[in-house]
Amino acid sequence: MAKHNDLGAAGEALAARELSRLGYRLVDSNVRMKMGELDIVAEEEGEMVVVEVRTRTIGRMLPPEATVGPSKIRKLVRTGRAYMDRIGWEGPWRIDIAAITVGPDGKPELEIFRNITVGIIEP
Amino acid sequence: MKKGMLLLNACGGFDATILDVAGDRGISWEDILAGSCAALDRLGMKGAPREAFLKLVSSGWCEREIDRCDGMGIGLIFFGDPSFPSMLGDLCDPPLVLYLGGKALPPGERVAVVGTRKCTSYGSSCAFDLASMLAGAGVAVVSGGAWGIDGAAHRGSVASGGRTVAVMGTGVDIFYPSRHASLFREIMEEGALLGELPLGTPPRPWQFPRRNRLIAGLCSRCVVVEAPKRSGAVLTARLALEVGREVWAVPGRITDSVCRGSNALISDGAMPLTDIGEFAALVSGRQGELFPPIQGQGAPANFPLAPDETEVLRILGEKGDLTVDNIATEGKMSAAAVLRALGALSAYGLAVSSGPGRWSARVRTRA
Amino acid sequence: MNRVNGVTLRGIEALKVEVEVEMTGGLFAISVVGLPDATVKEARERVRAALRSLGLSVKGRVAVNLAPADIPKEGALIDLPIAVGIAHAMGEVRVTEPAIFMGELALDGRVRRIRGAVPAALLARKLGFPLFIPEGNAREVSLVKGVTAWKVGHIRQLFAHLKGAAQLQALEPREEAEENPDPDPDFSDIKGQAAAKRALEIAAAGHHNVLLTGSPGSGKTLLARALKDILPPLSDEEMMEVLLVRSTVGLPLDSSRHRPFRAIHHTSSTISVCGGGTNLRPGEISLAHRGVLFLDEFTEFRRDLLESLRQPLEDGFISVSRASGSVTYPARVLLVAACNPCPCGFLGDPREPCRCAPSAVDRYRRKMSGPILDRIDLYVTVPRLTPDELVRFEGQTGECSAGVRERVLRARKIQWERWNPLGFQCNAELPERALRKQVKLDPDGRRFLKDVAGRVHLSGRGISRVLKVARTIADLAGDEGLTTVHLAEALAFREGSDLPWNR
Repeated sequence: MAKHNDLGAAGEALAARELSRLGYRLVDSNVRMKMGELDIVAEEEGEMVVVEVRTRTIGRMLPPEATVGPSKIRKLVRTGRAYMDRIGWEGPWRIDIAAITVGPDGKPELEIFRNITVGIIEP
Repeated sequence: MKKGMLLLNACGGFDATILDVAGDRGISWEDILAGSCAALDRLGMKGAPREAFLKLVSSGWCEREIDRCDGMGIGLIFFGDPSFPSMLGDLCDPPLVLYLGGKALPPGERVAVVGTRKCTSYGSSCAFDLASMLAGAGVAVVSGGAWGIDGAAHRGSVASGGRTVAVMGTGVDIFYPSRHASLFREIMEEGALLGELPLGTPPRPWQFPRRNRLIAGLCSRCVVVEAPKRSGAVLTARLALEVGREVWAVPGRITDSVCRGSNALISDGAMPLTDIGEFAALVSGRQGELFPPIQGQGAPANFPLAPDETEVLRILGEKGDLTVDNIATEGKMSAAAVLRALGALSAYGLAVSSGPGRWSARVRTRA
Repeated sequence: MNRVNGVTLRGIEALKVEVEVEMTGGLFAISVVGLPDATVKEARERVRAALRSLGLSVKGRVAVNLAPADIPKEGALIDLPIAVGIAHAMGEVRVTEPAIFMGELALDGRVRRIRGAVPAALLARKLGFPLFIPEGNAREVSLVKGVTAWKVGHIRQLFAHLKGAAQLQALEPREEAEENPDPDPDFSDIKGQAAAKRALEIAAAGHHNVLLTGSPGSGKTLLARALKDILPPLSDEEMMEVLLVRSTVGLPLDSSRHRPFRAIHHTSSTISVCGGGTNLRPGEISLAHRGVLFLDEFTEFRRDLLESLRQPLEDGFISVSRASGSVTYPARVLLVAACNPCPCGFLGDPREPCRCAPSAVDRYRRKMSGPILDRIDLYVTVPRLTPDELVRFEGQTGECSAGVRERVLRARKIQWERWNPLGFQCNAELPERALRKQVKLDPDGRRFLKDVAGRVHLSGRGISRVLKVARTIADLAGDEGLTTVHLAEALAFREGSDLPWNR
C-alpha cells in the first residue's frame, strides 16, 4: 500500500514538471471535492485542464490510461464541473490523462492524452 | 340393357365384346344390374372392375349419369344403335358407349389428321391448311383435340366452315387442354366432341392410347402430319393400318427428330402426302378447282399483290426460314421494302414467321 | 445573421440549410441538432480534425444548429459549412455575405468531392448566393450557367479566401462540346439483322418502345445498346436534366451529349429501379432519363416491379411519397424489352430443337402481358444467324450509326414541327383522340387497314400502334400522306407478329 502511494506521489510530481515544460500553467493539485478528487488542475491557452495522473509499472496487465474507465470519467466530469463552478470559471475546460509507465530499469515514461471526453461524452 | 352397358363401360376394361359373352352365356341383364354374384362370375368379372361395378350399382350412378347427360345436352350412343358409327365395328374392341357433345357425328367421308404436340410451324400450318382444304371439299376431319397438330387441324376445319370431330381422352365435359376450351365450343357448333369415358373423367396418361383406336376406327384415311418416333400419332397410324385404313404421312426434313416417326411410316409403306389439293380431290372425289380458297388466305380483291410482294413470295417459295437479310440480298431489295412486303403477306396469310426473325411461305392452295 | 449555408438533398433538389454556431464555456463537446443523420453527426470528428490541421483548437461547448429544424439533413456535404461556421464563431474567418458551402472534410483538411453539386448550383443560382464547392465537383458545376462558384481543394485555401488573404480559383463556365461522341456499338459493328435495325431506326425516330424477341445469342443486348447512338444528341436542356440526376447520385460526368443507357436486371429491387429508400435517391429509371432503359429477360421480372414502372412510363416522371412530403424524379425513357420465344429459348430455331412442353410455352407467352407490353409499339424478332450466314457478312460493312442518325434527326424535326403546337414532340406520345383526328389515311389505306385488322385480329390499341408506327415510317421517308406502303411496313412490326406460329 505504501509503495503504491509512493509511486503515485512521485508520478504526480513528474507529471507536474512535464506539464509545465509543455506549456501548461499549473493552477492547483490534489484538489479534494465532495464527489471526488482532482490530481492536477492547469490552464493551457485559455482552456482549463483537469489532469488525471495514472502510474503503472510495466508488466502489469493494463496500460495506465486504460484504467480510466467510464465510471471514472463520469466522476471526473462531475468533479471537474463542480470545481469550475467553485472557482467561478465559465470558459472552456477539458480533461487530460497523464500516463506514467515505469520501465524495468526504473526509468519513468510520460504520455499525455488530451481531451479524453471527445467522442465519449454526448452533450 | 343400355344401363348395363353404361355401367360396364364406366368401370373400365370392358368393350362391346362383353355383349357377345353375355349373350353366349345366357346371362340376363337384370341379374347383372342386380349385382348377382352368379351373373358376374359367369361374365368373368373379377377384382377391381367388379368392385367398381358393384359400387356404381349400389350408388345409383347410372341414373345420375343419364340425367347429367340430359342436362348438358350430351347424347349417348350405344353399340348397336342405328346412329352408332358402323366403321367402329372394324375394331376388335369397339366401345360400348359413345358420349357425344355437339351437333352430331358428321356422316360421309372422314379423315383423321394427327401429329405431335410439339410441332414446328411448318407442321402446324400444314395441318391447318390440309384440314381447311378438306373442309372446303366437304370432308370431316377427326383428331384428338390436343396441343400442336391436332389443334391446328381442328382450327383449320373450323376456319373453313367444315365439320370436325375431336375424340377426347377425358370425359367429354372436361375441356383438356383448357386452352382449347373456346376451340372445343366452336367444334361443337358444327361437329362433335366424342368420347367413351364417363363424364368428369380427368386426363390420365393411359386413357390416350385407348382414345387413339377410336380415331383410327372412325376414319377411312389417317394422315400423320409430323410425329417423332415414339408418339401417339404413330400409334394411331399403326392402329389404322390394323383395321385396314389408308395411312398417309407428310414428309419432313430428315434431319429433324420431330418428324422421324412420320417419315418412318412412309418408308414402311404409308403414302407420302405431297400435295394438299390433290389429296383433297382424291378423298372427296371432286376436282380441285371447285374448292373454295382456304379461309383467310390470299390478298383481298381490291389489292392485288404488288410486284415486291410477289417477288418476296417467290423467294420464300423456293426456300423457307429466311431472314430479312437473306430475302433482301436475294431479291436485291432494301430491308424496308422486304418488311413492307412481309407485313402485307403475313396479314394475307401467305407468309408466316417460322421462327424468330425467319419467314416462310404458307402452303399454297392449288392454283 | 445567417451567412453560412450548406445544403441537404431531397430527391434531386437541394434545400438550403442555415448553419448556426454558438460557443460557450464548459467541458469540451460539439453537438449538432436539426435532425442530422449519422453521417452528419460524424461531421464533428472530421471538422475538429480538419480545424486542428490548421492549428485551430476548438474549445468549450459548441452547439451547431442546422435550420430549418424539421427537415432531415443528410450526408457529409455539410462538413464544410459546419467548419466555416465554427471558424466564424471563433473569429478566425469572416463571412461577409450569405454563401453556400459544400464539401466533405478529410481529417487532414482536404475537401472531398460530394454528390449533389449540380442541384446545389441550381439552388445557389436561384438564391443569388456564391457557391463554394470541392475541386472534384468543379467539372459538373461548370456546366451550370449563371452561378458564381469557387473551387476549394483544402480548407486552408478557403479560410485564406474568407480572410481576404488570398483568392480561390473561380469556376470558369464551359460549354459541352457539340460534337457527337463515338457510337458504341456502331450499327456497322452488328452483322446482318436488317429487320431489327430498321425497327430501331423507327423506334428512335418516333420514340416508340420496342420488344425484341430472339433466342439466346441472337444479339438482342447489342442491338439495344446500339439504339442510344442513333438517337439525337442531348439538347442543352436535356443535358442539364441528365446532369442533375447524375450529380445527385454522385456519378462522374462522362461525355455529356451521349444518351444514357441503363440495363436493369430482373432481380433488382423496386427501390433501386424507381428510386426512394431512406435517403430518397433516384433509381435506374431516372438515371436512364432522356435515354434508353433496357429490360432484358423481361418475362422474368416480378409483377410488382413491372407495375411500379407503369406510372413513369406513362407520365415521364416518378413520385415517391414520404411523411414529410413527396419527391419527384424525372423518368422519361425509351423502353427496350427483350425476351426469349420460349422458356428454353430455342422455339423456331433452325438448328437447335426446342425442349419445352407446349403448355410451358403457353404459360410463358401468357406472362407477356401487362403494363410493359401495353407501352410497346414495335414487336420485332431477332434471328440467330447460322455460321454460314455470318460468314456471308464478313467483309461487308453495313450502314454506320451516323447515317441512321441523320434520318432520325430529319424525321424528328418533321414531328416537332407538326406536333409542337399541340404540345407533343413525337408520334409515340400521341394520345388516342389526337391520333384519330390528326393522322389521316387515304381511302385505299383505310380499306386496307380495315381488311387486314379483321384478318389478323388487331385490337383497337393494336390499330393505334400500327397507325403511329406508320406515321413515323412516312416521316422517315419524308412523305406527307399516309398510304398503304407505310401501313404494310408497320404491319410487319405489329403486336402478335412476334410469334404467330404456336397459334
